[in-house]
Order: sequence, then structure tokens, then C-alpha cells
Amino acid sequence: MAEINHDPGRGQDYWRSLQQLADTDEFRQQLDNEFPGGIDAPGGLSRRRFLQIMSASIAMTSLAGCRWPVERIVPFAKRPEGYQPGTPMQFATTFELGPVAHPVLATSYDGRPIKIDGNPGHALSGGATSAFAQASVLDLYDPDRSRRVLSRRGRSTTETDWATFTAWAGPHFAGLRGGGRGVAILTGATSSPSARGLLEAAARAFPGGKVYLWEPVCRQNEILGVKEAFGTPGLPQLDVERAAVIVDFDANLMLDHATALRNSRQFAKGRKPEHGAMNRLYCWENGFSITGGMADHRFPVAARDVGAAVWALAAELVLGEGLPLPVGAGVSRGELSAWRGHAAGGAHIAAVARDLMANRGKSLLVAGLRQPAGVHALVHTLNTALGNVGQTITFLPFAAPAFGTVEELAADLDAGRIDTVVVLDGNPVVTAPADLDLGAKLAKAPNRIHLGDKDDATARLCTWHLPKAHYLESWGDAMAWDGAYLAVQPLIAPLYDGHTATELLSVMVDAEPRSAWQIARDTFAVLGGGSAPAPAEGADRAFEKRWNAFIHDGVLAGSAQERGQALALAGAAIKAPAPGKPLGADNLEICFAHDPSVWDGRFADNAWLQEMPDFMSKLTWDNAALVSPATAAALGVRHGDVVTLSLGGRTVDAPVYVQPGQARWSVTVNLGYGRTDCGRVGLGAGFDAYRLRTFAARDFADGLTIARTGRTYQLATTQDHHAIDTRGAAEIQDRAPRLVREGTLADYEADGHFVDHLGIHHPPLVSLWKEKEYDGYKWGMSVDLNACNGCNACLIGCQSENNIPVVGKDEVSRGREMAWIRLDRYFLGDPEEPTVTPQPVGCVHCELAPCEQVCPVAATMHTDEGLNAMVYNRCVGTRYCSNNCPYKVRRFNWFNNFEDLTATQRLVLNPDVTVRARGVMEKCTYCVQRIEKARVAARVKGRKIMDGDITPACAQTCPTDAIVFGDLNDPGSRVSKLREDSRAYDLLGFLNIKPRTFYMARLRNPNPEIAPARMNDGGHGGGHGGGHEGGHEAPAAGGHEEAAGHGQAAH
Amino acid sequence: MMKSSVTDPLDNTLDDPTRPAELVLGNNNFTTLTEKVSDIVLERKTPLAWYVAITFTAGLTGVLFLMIAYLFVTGVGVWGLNNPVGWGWAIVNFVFWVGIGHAGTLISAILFLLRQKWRTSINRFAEAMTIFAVVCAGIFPGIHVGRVWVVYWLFPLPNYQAMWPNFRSPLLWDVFAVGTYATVSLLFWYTGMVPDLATLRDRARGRLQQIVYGVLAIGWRGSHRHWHRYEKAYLILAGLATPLVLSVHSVVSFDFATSQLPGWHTTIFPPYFVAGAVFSGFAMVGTLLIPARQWFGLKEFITLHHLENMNKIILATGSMVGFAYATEFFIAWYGGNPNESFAFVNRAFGPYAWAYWIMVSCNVITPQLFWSKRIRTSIPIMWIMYIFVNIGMWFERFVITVTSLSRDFLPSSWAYYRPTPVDILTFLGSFGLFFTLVLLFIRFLPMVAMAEVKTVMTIADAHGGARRSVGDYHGEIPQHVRHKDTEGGSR
Repeated sequence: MAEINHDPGRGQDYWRSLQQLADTDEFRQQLDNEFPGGIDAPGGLSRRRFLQIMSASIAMTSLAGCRWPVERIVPFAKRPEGYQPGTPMQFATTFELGPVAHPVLATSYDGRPIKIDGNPGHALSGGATSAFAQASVLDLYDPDRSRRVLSRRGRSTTETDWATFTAWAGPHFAGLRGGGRGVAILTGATSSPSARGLLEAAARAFPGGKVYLWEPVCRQNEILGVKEAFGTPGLPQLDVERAAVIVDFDANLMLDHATALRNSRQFAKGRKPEHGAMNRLYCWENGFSITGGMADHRFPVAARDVGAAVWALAAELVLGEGLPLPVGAGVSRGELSAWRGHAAGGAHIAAVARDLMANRGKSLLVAGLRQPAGVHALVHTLNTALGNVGQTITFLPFAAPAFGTVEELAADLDAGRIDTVVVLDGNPVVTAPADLDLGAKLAKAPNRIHLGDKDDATARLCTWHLPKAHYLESWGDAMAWDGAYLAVQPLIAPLYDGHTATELLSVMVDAEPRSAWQIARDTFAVLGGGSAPAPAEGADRAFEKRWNAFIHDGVLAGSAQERGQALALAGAAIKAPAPGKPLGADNLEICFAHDPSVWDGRFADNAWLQEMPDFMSKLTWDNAALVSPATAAALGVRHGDVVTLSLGGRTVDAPVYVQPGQARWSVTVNLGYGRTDCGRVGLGAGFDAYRLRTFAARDFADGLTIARTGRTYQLATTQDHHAIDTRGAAEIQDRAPRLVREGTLADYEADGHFVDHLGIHHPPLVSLWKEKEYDGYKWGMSVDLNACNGCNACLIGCQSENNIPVVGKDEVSRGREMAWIRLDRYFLGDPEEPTVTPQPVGCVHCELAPCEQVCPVAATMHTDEGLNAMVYNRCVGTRYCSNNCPYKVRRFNWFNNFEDLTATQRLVLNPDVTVRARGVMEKCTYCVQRIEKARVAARVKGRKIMDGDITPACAQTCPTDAIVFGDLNDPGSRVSKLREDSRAYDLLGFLNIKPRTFYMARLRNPNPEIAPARMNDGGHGGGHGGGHEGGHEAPAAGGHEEAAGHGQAAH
Repeated sequence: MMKSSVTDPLDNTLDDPTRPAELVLGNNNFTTLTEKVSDIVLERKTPLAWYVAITFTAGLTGVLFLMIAYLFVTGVGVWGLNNPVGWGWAIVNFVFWVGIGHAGTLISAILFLLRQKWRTSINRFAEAMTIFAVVCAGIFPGIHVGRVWVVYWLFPLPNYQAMWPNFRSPLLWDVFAVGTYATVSLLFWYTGMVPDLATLRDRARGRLQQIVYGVLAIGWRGSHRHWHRYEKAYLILAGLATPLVLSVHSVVSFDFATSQLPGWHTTIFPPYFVAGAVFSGFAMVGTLLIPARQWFGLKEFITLHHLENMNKIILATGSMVGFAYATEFFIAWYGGNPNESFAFVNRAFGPYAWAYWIMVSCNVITPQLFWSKRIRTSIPIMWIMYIFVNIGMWFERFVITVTSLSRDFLPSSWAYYRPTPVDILTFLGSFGLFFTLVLLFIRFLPMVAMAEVKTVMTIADAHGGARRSVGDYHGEIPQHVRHKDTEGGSR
């Protein structure tokens, strides 16, 4: 079997590590056995080993290119148990974003991970997952990931390998154990018990050593707020479903919160008037978040005034409404009195306070991670006073690790106390506070080691750069926000020479370095009540069984805490926010926000996320300085103007984006852009807001000034591509209420069919001919606008499932983005305080599809089940179908969009879905590949496809279950029942095209003291002869039947 | 009978109810006519300007093919199209060129059937222009598709997919309508040219010319049988071509009218498009004819009277177009469909208002000036007017195609369309192709239909009195009517 030895310089380099794997003795033995005994022997081969071998076998078949198979391969004379070639398999693992662990299921196709979904076995996911988690699979195949261990001496860089590093590191760290200058470990936030154990071990092992924590987007305030209020740190656990009144203070409950997915789901559940009462959401925030978009009342205030609003609310509750201050409250009535009627609370604060008083024990106040710990403490005090603690909010004890801060690291480096700096992941040279100048200080330590996925700015300042294994290549563990113990397991052997942080730490502290797998098992053994090291593989059957169950489920059964504890207030005084200089044109506030696309910059090279439009701004590929329309007018700046932002002597140039709903005088800048040290995707996207961010002003600060530069910059958005003229804007205001139908709870209670009165009046819709009847399956989809909050998860789910290409900023700015499902949003009302409703729009699969009749070559046709099918290989690309599509959901391949993908990037493609060629039209298929899969499965079982057998990718990942798919001919299906709901309506139904996707109107629940209870007050009256634009109305249906009758008569 | 106030001997535009205007001026007889027309092709030295002109236009044609090659290699994305605006300049240019191609057949066929004798001087030229415009038009639908290598799927050909095209699609109707129109126009043009080609053959001195014109003349000998067949064929082709004039642009308008896009979905489109097509076609004929008659000494045959008649047609069709604009607006308001009324308000006052008002100024105001006889008979002014009409009619297609698409039902998908340099160069290149063909035509083929013009000359009126109808005599005057009075050419 010598043939498998390749010259490493040939073949495709992403398989190089696998070839090395194939060269190991172990693998040779496997090959020498015609029946690789290890694979079949029960418990004889770990899954990781198996996967490695699997990957290697596949690798070998692909080594020489597209000819099949040139190499001699190992045939599966006996197929490994449970493995079917070509059948996707799912493995539970965990995606970590900072300290927040997301339990996920990763789909593997013939050994390569292609899709990430939520792990339905865990309450925090319920099968849903965030856009970040879903897009993380793309990072695995990033062609710009670092591949080799790099050793830097002076100006020379040598490519070397892990073994060389460990050969150096073992004696080096052994030498430092004795004392002397210390070892500094700079880590990001992680929930992994293994990592934490090793970090603590490292701190003990090196007398001069210390662990420092730097997480650019940090959740410390939340945890410290709990400590300030209750005297003990804890993780707040929310039960949004139980809350009738929710007040969100810059918390962005549905996206930024640690349990955002569960919050979203519970919030949506609490808003179904069919199932009982409806909750009410108030929101104080400076930028327009998706939670603000869902709020019944949103009050835009500067970030620093959010704290003031909490104080004003507290004052109103205690002094105005007579809410008794609880025992141990850190504030007094006297302190509060100064805040009563504070401007930040706004004119309606008393109404909010009364609403909260009426819902004691059923309300919930939450503060956001940008707000200082004091604000959190006051919020917890109010929650206690309102009787919410123990009801809607509980706490999990959390022992915060005693790590140093990055500021202390800078001081220690300055003092020359550090010999070796180990940077575990992250890019602190870019992300650390600008005033620390960490890059220059790092050089004061003679040995610098960086573990990361990119040869980035930090790596370039280090003497060693070690490629970090992607989580889909790693063994590990994590702790979910609800305390659940989660498994991280690899789906593929590391593509490059990647290792985990735990492996690096093990090299530093363990006499005999352990593998990540061993480390995770050892931790599992300890947490399971045993002791490390874990029993050798196969030695302890009971242990193996527990371990296998753990990695199979991805979560240790019983480890999740359904509810935390109710804590008692500790009585420490809460510091009130200091009054600052009034905000104005010469004293603006700057607010540093993590970005919904690139987070803190770690996803800058993720093309799916870069091209994912922001929920509100619809901005792609860039960040911008977001200012409100009035602020922009006062500053004399316009959309796309480049301005210089100056804060405390630091400046950065940024384009202006005029964002309706942004707080006045408050400028939001998103972090993570303007990278110059990343791969080809992120390069040149946006500006670097970190350059303004100091240790003291990590979250927000005032004192910002803006100066025009006279230059302009092209911002690529997916909606409002071109500045809208006043006439167009007026038309949007006029038209949007018909497209996105909304009412209030009172409207709904007064007239369940209020939705039907919101459309265009038109004559009865009739057909000239007998329409086709669908007597088999009749697929349809419902989109509940009352549940959808616009989190974008469906966009990435669809992109990942359906191989949707990324086109880049230039093409987006030309209006050529390819997303099959998009989130439309229309701002209504005052541009300073607008309301907004997201509306997901994909192909609605019209029964009388306008696209179909105009295609000259019949490339888009109707199936017997009512799918509007697109036959790619018949399409000649006239684009007539797109012109005639009233929803404009069709997407044309203007170029060969897959041309530039490297061979590695192609691995992420879903083999079940055609990759579309240049010049071909494409669009949402209702995930027809999943329908067909379900059909096969049902046929094998000899039954019909049942409701729930098919879940399109968008519906699968939706945290609020806003999207429901099913058979409209099955009266028992969820979608049929929704179709019968009075809130259902057809978008553009008046065109008589009979869309299969229908929408459920959004309901708002305004506080009658603040806003009129009714939005749609029966203005139409009765007695109009024509039809309404509605899905299932008598006039339309009657006309239809009549036409059918004529048709028969004619025959 | 001419009044003394008329000083220009070539002005035959005076309206004298007692006597029809002369259609051929100057001291011309059959011989001089033949000589003057055929010498351009056979005898006269090709002017240097012709070489300069064709170098330029051939260069532009080269640009066209370069742009097409770039398009084929790269993809339709090289144009400025985007998601709502799936059709841009390519389709605008297609409709523009097809429209221009209307004048020729209208002059040849409809005016022939209506016995409008004045057509004879200009019909050859107009027909040639039709063919060349249709050639330019035919390029665009072919190249605008995403996968040009399978564009033949639009034709009902047997294929491995065993599929017919979709007969419900107006694009398919286009294929048939434009294809038929191009075929019939070409046949009509060629058939009408056969006697003249025979004249060229007979007069040619070079061997190559004799062979080429000989082949093209398909054995024409001017026998009575030939004349008889010829006139029957010509009449039949005229009968066939007449409905096509009306149908081709009606079908092109179906591309828009049968869709449901506000601004496209309009029942007025077929007549409106046909009127607009005739309007633009005549303007283009005039644009080319004025320099041609000037440079090639054809003022005696293509007289001011001809031009004035054309201007009257432009006035009539231009007014129809203006009326159609008004009607569209009225219906957009009266119909009560908010999407449609917005589409029209947006045209006039939205982001593309500049294009709309260019269109209105050129197409509505310009033709109305032709109510004035002074303007109608002033060559420099009318030539400028023609240019305006050409611009206006291009913008009409732009306004219809692009503004409607850029803002339709869902405001989330609204976008602005901008052409790229490739769009612009492709369009300019199509003019290069058009003018190259025109230049080749005037150099190698008889610009004026000699045989037909002879029938309307005074001297053909052997019996005096009322002039005979067209078609009574074609070709050379029979021997027995020759008279020494007529040989001198005096009227």
C-alpha cells in the first residue's frame, strides 16, 4: 500500500493533514487488514479515530482530482455499523460564542460537516439556533485559516509543526515552573469546564503566572450586577413565557441575551391571543434592536440614559405607585426622589409603572450587557420588589473565576514581570482597549505564543503561532447558561495542523500532554463523580456507556437546571449614574455594539454573515456610524457621508447611516470591522471602531464629536438600495399597512377578521377557466408576523441548506443579492420613533404563478402538489419570470457565482441541492429535497407523509416557530389550522395568483394609557360589493366556484 | 402653373388642388433617372467621405461584437441589471430597433395598397432601413438571455429534452412575430429590387459586378410574363406584409401588456406601440434620407414633397402617441388601482422623472410643430426634429421598461437601475452595425426604386390626362409610346 504515499507538495493541500494521518503506523495496520478489525470491533475504535480514517479514505479517493478512484482505496467489504455512504449523519456538539454555549446538531455528509442546526434535546435550543452557529460551519472551510505552526524569530518566519512546538514548549514551561518571571495566559471567556480546570491548574503551576481574561463582548456586567444586588454572582435565568409585562432596558432579549433563543420562543408563545392573554413589551434602548422592533412601546434614549430610565421607573414605582422597597434594597426612597420624572423615563413612565404594579409577580425587567452592574442591580431590586424573583427570573449560582483583566496584563507586561505570554484564541492586539496599546507591550515578554485560527495582528507579534482547531474538529466540553454540561465532539479530523486550547494548556501544565479527547473524558469522569484520569478506552463498560450517551446527546442528561434559585437582596448600596454633560451636536454619545454579522470581528471572514443584512439597517459588508434622522439633520450629514469620529483624542473615519429610531444624539458603531489582518473575505469591510474604544469607555461614552470629511462612501444595503424620494416614501407609508398587516389586541377581540379589511378593495376574483385541483398533497406555508422578530436565522439556514452563493459588496449594492428568503421591513410613523415589522418573504408558490406562463421555454412549472418548480437545466435565463413576479423573490445568477470558490470551500455545499450555473434563475423551493426525502421515508414505511415529517430549513431554525409548513389538504395539519385562523391573509392576494404561503397578521398590545387601543377602528363599515384582498374570503371563493361552473357548462 | 413666388425649382410642396404635386423634378426622363441612380453604384467614384464613414461605423460594429464577446464570456452581470430590473437596455434597444423597422414595410406595403404614389421614391431606402433595423433588433433578444448557448430552445425544434417551448409565453410569440416580419420584409425588399438589379446587371462593366448582379437579378429579362409574375408577387407580399406591420409591434407590446406589472399591464399597448413604431420609423427614415439625397444628388427624386408627406405621418402618429400617454394617465387615475396609479405618478415624478420628461418633450411637443408648413418644409429643422423623435422614442421604451420594473408591488424590492459602460457601448455598437449596413446598401444597391419611380413620372403618362395608377407600367416605357418630345425630358 505504498501508493498512498504522496508528495505533500502535490494533491490538494487541505487534505495534507489527512495524508499524514494516513501515513501513521496505525493506519497502515488498518490498511493491511483487509477487514480493518478496529472498525468493527465493539468499542475497539473511538469515533474520532473512525472519523479520521473515514475522512482519510475519502481523501484518498479525491487526491488526484476528479477521476474516480485513481488511488487504491480500502473497500468497505464490511460496512461499519450505522454508516451508510451518501446518507447524512448528525452529531451533537456545541458551538461557543464567548461564554455562551449553543448546543447544536451538526450534519455530516460522507465525513464532511455541511450544516449546523439547533439541538432539539436541549431547552435553550429546542431545535433552533442562531445565525452565528449556523454560519460557523463555513469557517471550517475558510481557505485563509492558518494551516501551519509558525515560528517567528525577528523578521523570519518558519513553517513548522506541532511536534516541533511541543519539543520546545515542554522544557520551556518546565523551566518556568520554578518561579522567576511569570507566565501570562490571556484567554477569552469560555464556559468549558476542561478549559477552566486547566487554566486554574496553569495559574497554580507557574508561581509567577496569572490568567487574564479579555472578551471584547463581555457578559461581566450581568454577572456582577447579580453580585451587587444579591451578594453572590449568578447567571440570571429568565422565564419570559410567564411574564405578562416585560421591560427591556437595552437588553435585546431576543438576540443578545445569553438565552435569546429561548426568550424569543417564550415571548412568541406569550403573544398568541388564541391561547389566552397577550404579553406587553416596553423597551428603552439607543439603537434599534429586533427586540425594540417587537416592543409595544419603544423609547429611544441614549445608552447612558437607559440607566437613568431605570432609576426614573424605580422612583415612579416606589414614590408614585407606593411599591414598598424590599428588605435589603440598595437604594432608599430619598435617593429615588431625585429621579422621579427624569427626562430619560419619558412622558409615559407613570403608565408603565402602573402596568407593572398591576402585574406584580408576572412582570420582568431586564438590563442589557452594555449597562453597568449598578443598573443591573437596580433592575434586580425592582424585580424583587415586584415579586418577580422566583417567578419570572431566577438565578444559577456561578463561581466567577478569579482572572485578571487585560488592563492588569498591560501593567504586568510593562513592569517586565512576564516571560511568556500565551494568547488563547482571540485577537487582543486589535480588540483590546485602544488606550492599553497591548501590541507594543506584548513585545516586552520574550516569548509569545498565540493560538488562533488566523495569522492575524496578534499572531504576527508572537514568536509562535499555533493554528486553532475549529470546534467541528475538536473534542471538548462546555457549560450552557442553564448549567447543562455539553459535549463538543469532532465531525472531521483537523484539516490543518490545528489543536485546541486545552491541548496547548496541557502541554504547559501536564507532565505528559494529553489529547483534547483525553482531557474531555477526564473532566467528564471528574464531573461524573469519579476522578481523573478517565478509565482507558474500553476498560470500564459503564463509563463508556455514560460517555457514549453524553456525546450522543450532546448534553449530560439531568445536568440542565430548569429553574434557578430565588436570591435575597444583600443590601449593598447601588450607585446612581453620574449626571453627565448634556448631549448635543458638540457632545454626542458613542455606543460600541457587537455586530449582528461579525460579532466582535471573529466572523469577519465569514462570507455568509458578511452578506447577511442587518435587521434594521439592511447593511451588508460594512459597519457605519448610525445616527437618527434628526441628529443627521442637526449635524448636516447625510447617508453615505464619510465623517471623522473623534473621542478623547482618538479619531476614525466612518460612513454615516441614517437609522430611523436611533436615539437622538447617540451614535452607534459596531465592532469587528475594518480588519486589515484577516482573510480575503473580511478585508476592506467597514471601519475599525476598536480604535476609539478605551478601557474606561468599553460600552458607551459621551464626548464624541463628528466632523465631515467631504467624502462619500458606498454602503451596500438589501433594501432601499437607492435613497427614496419623498413621493416614494409617502407611497411606502401608504402601502406598507396593506402588505404587513397589523392590528391591536383590541382590534382582534372586536373583530377577528379585521385583517381582511386592511387590503385593497377589488371586484370578486374570478377565473376564466377551470383551475387545477390539487387532490394529493397541497403544500403550503404560514408565516406568523406576530412571532417573527427578524433574527435572520432563517436566512442563514436557507443559505446553508440550499447552497446559496455569496456575491460580495459590489453586487449587493447593485441589487443582486441571492438570498431566497429575505426579511422585508418597513418603518412606519415618526422617523425618530418609528414602528417596524419584519416580514420574511420567499417564493410564495402561487397556484396561478405569473412566472410560469411567461417563461418561453417552460423552465418553471407547477408540480402536482402545487410547488412552483424551477427546472435549472431548462432555464435559458430570459429573466421574464422575475419581471413578472410581484414578490420579486426570484434570483438570477448574473455570473458564475461558484467560480471563485476554492476546493476547500466547495466542501460545505449540500450535495442534495444543485449548484446553479451562470445565467440561471433560482428561488425558494420549499426545500423540495426535504419533501422528497420525507416522501421516500414515508413510502418505505408504507404510509402517507404526515404533518411534521417535512420541515424546510427556515422553519427548522426559527426560534419562534413563526414559519409552519405542511399539507393544506390535511385538515389536521398545523398549517391548515393556521389557514383557517382569522389572522391569516395573502400578501398581494388581490392579484388572484393564489399564493400558497400566507401570513398571519401581527398584533400589538399597546398600553391604552399611552396609545389608542385600536389601530383599525372598523372604518370600512359593511355593505361593499367587492372582495377584499384576503386569503379565503367568501366573495373570492364564490367567484371562483362560479367560474368553475361556467367552465363546466362550456364543456 | 407654378407660382412665381416659389423660387426654389425643387420645391414641389405647394398645395394646388387642381393638380397633384410633381413626384419627380428637374429635367429627368427615364434615362436620366436610370443613370443618376445606377451611376451611384456603378460609375461614380466612391467618395472619400464614404470610406471615412464606413471606417468609423465598422469600428463601432467591432465594439458591438467585442462587447457581445465579453458578455458571452462573463455573464449578463456585465450589464447594469439588478433584481427588480431584469430587463434593461438590451430590451429597450430591441423594442427601439423593431419600432424603427416599421417605416419601411409600412411605406412599401400599406402605402402601396393605398395607391400612394409618392412612396416610390423612398420605399427602397425605407425598406432597406427596415431590414437593417430588424437585424439590429434581432441581436438583443438573442444576447440578453443568461445562457446564450441554449437560446435555440426558444424555437420549436426537436431536441433531446423532448420539449416544446411554452406557447403561453409572449416571448415565444415575439420569436415568431419578429421572425416572420424579418422574413417577409426581406422578401418584399428583394422582390421589389429584382428589376433594378437587372438594370444594374445590364449596365455593369466589371465582370464581377455582372456576375453578382446577374445572380441577384435571378434571370430577369423584363418580359411581359416576368412583369406579370412580378406584380402579382409584389401585390401578394404587400398583402402579407400589411397585417405584419400592425402585428409585430402589437406582439412586442404583449411582452409588457400580458404581464401583471403596474405600468406594463395595459390594454392600450398594441395600438400605442404600433403608432409609436411608425412614428419612430419615419423619423429614422428621414434622419438618413436627408443626408443621402443631399450627398448623392437625389433631390429630384426624393423631393421636399416626399419629406413633407412623411412629416405629416409623423405628425399623425406622434399625436397618437401623445394621446396614448394621456390615456394611460387617465386610466391609471380612473381605474382606481393604487399600484397602477403609483406606477404612473412615479414615472412622471419619481427617480426617473428626467427620462419621462425627455420622452414627453421629444415625442409630444416635437411632432406638434409640424402643424406649421414652414417647419414641415424646412430641411434643417425637420432633420433636428427627427433626431429628437429618435431620442424620445428610445426613452419611451426606457421609461416603460425600467421605471415600471424598478418600483413594483413590494417597496422592499425597489431599486434604481443604472447602465454600465458595457450597456452603453453595446447600444452605440448597434448603431455602428446599422450605419455600416446602410453605407454598404447605398454603395452597392440602387437607393431609389428606379422601375417604380418611372411609373409615376409625367412622361410615363403617355396618354396625358389623369395619371395612371401605380403598377400600370413598370420598367422601361414600351417602344410605341416613345416620342421625340419625351426624349428631351422637358415637361
